[in-house]
Amino acid sequence: MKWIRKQVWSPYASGIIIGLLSWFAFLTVKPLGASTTFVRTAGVIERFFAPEHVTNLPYFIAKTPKIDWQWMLVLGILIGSFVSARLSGTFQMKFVPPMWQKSFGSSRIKRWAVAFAGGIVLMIGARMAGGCPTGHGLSGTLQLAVSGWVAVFFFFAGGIIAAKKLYRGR
Amino acid sequence: MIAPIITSPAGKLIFGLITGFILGFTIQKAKLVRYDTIVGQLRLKDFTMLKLMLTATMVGMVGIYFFKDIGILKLSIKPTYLAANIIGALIFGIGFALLGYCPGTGVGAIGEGRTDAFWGGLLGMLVGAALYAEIYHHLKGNILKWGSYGKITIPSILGVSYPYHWFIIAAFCIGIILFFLALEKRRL
Repeated sequence: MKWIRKQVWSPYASGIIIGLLSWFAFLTVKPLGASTTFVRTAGVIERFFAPEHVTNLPYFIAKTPKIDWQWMLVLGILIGSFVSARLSGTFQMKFVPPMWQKSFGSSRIKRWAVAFAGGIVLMIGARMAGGCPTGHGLSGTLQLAVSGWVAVFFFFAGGIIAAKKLYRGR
Repeated sequence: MIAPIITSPAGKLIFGLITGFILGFTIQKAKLVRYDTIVGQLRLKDFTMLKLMLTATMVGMVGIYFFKDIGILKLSIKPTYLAANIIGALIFGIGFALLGYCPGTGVGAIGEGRTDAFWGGLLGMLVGAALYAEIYHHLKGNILKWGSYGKITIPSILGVSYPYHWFIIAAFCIGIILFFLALEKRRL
């Protein structure tokens, strides 16, 4: 069982595992996805403060705030990653990523502000596009869905252009 | 049809957790939960992310179409709304470059101890989801409807069905493998 403690698996081997996992998910419950869970969770939290508002909002009527299969999947990602990192000794409490630090310094506030803004923008985009790199980029593309291939092309097109601007001259 | 095998509510939750555990375990091993891997991909310096995603797509595609053809599952296609897909994906891309994680990998990053993925990423993504819920009904009647084509697939727009869609699948697999060979040749 040495492979379980290994620090890095090849991207191709990992890709095969995730491809097989997509069969498993599809056959047992439904295709892999992640971003709807953030809507449901936001709704659960917001309902705490403004129950009536959440009940009447059309988007929360379409995506009921509740814990479902995908919510547990996202929780599973958290636990799986934690267990894997612990087993291979790669778990590390760290705020500023190395590549970021090299170009933008070690300020936590700076990293936090950009990450927070990025999270907001990213999720608005994902919800508008109807999915994220898992729902569109994996489950959509593997079914040869036009929406999946269009979305994944523009995820990376937008991301590559934005990263180029962000890191220009650094 | 046998899929979905799991139909009880509790069973679905348990299978969600199992599936997510394997997914999180694997993407941590593949370093896909790191900012450096993802932004490295967007800066075209590190192709781990595309290698993993395209391998998974290829393996997934062959299996899912096989299961569909022998009649044990039905495809679950997200409808195409060209404007929303394109504009939304471009907006996503900007946030993707700023945050350096996507929704699934961001949660995985938290599991690995990357606290920027929690205080920045997770909180930002939840705020973004809440904000989208506030604007959704204003977009619904206009921009979200533009370029609506329904649940189309590449075989369906080409007018190809069983068994000829296997030529399309083969073409995608060959294209992906040639792309990998080109990457490896350039030591990327």
